[in-house]
Amino acid sequence: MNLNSKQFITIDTHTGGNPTRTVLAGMPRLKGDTIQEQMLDMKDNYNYIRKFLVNPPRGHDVMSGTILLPPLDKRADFSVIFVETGGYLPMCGHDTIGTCTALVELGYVERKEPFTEVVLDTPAGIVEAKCKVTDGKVTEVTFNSTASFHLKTVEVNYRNQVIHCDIAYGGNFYGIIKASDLDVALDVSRSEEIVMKAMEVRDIINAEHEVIHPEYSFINKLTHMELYEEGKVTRNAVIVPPGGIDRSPCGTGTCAKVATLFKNGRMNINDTFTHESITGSQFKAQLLKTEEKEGIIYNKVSITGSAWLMARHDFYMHDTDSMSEGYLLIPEI
Amino acid sequence: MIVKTVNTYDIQINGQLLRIADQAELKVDIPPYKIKNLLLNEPRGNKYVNLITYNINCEEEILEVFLDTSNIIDNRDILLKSFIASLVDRGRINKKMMYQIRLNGEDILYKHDELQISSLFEAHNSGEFYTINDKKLKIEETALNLEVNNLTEIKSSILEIYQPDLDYLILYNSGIFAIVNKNGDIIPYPVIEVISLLYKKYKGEELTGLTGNNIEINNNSFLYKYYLIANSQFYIDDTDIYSEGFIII
Repeated sequence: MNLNSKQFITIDTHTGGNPTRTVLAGMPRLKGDTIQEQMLDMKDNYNYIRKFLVNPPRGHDVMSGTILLPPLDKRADFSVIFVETGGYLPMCGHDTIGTCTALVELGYVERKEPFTEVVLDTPAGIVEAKCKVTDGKVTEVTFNSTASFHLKTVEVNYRNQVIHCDIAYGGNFYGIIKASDLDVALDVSRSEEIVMKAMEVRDIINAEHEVIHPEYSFINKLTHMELYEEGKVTRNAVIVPPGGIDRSPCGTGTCAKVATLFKNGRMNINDTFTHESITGSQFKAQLLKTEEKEGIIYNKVSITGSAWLMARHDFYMHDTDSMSEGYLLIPEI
Repeated sequence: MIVKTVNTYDIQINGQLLRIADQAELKVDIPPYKIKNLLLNEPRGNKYVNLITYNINCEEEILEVFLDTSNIIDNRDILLKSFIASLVDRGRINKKMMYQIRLNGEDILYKHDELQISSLFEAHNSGEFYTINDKKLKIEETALNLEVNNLTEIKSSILEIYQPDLDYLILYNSGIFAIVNKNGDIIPYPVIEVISLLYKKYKGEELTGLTGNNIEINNNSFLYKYYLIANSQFYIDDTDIYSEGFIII
């Protein structure tokens, strides 16, 4: 057998059902002194590698991953670039949990019990993750999010009904809506309907309301939707661009939810909130502190979740393969 | 703790994914984990995975094979032939003139010379529908731009014309085609029944699939080649919360 190819070696984990493909080997040397610069170099010159690794037939609609690089920041164990089918992310909660779990369980960082600290240099800044380790197994990973906040509550008319939507930021803007208001149950069998309705409401909101980050004006659109059902724990379905459902409870979406709960007087500092995904996995969020600045309450939240090792893959990129960048059959919504 | 590892390899033929595992890899069960389902379903698999588990029966010189998917199995023979070609390439079976497969109890023979080629089928016209291999097909000629970046419009159009009694609905515009299956899903790879029909109806036209596949036809036969995607080792941890995974369409 003549492989005649370029090899990439990955470790796949899932964080509450959402996959992370951690790329250990195969990347070309990226240009730049910082991880932000290297992410841009990958975006400009090696985007085909992202597509190769996450799009079907090698990945699937919501496949995501981290490109693991030697530390560019002295404080970090590794620098990472977050990739997904939709492109690049400055920070990703479930990928942080997945990659840290792989790094600790496979000994890429020195394993210490009961806790191993892993420091990642991400395009959003340094992320410190605390991994709880028992008998060599990472049982939980906790990291502190970037500042989240509740922006505003809007009302829109949708199919002759008035829908209340909390718009909050947790790394992306989330439109948070009670699932029953859209007449959908949060069940995987209704995923297409969930995506369709959520995105229709999102588009109405974007057409009728201004959604803009108070500090970063380039973040100026509602991109993600988060439907929820309240019960013993709050169950959610987070709809992510370009049109998939997060299989995990979504780290950044959970931070946005915590900001909303605090704003509505339903959560206090040091309280813990449990978020359950559409596939039944859970994240715990703790509100660490809040700070008001120019009318916005910024929240510091810690997220705790678990990931499991799934596979090691040796991928082969063939020059003659017309499918080397894969395909993505989900509409840009 | 990881309590099971399963070695597999993935190949793709024009974008159609096939995961292959020796049955010996699956023999020891780890209740409550359902290994086959875990290889097919998310988070280890996905809706596109077709799974072959096989056993080489040396006495009878037969490949005993099971073919599973969480979706609909298209191109059965192309998958099986590519599977055989991959076993030959990997040195798992000897190159022979002819290979015998036992698929779910049915014996099938494939010639070595036909592992990368399949004859097109005859299409039978019955009004606005066609029948090929007991499958019902319909062509819908359209002015729509059949490109992946026009999926929203294509999907809206499908919603209007989709008929669940059809095995394949084909949207066709000047040599470019999109295939919709019985579930109403767009299929990202060419299907031989569809190719057979389009070749018959639009003889001379160059055929290209929605994902950019150029269809190679020679002498009334469809030519294809498998590519090795990955050699893989799957892990099952006894604390994993999913015992059989899930599929989200």
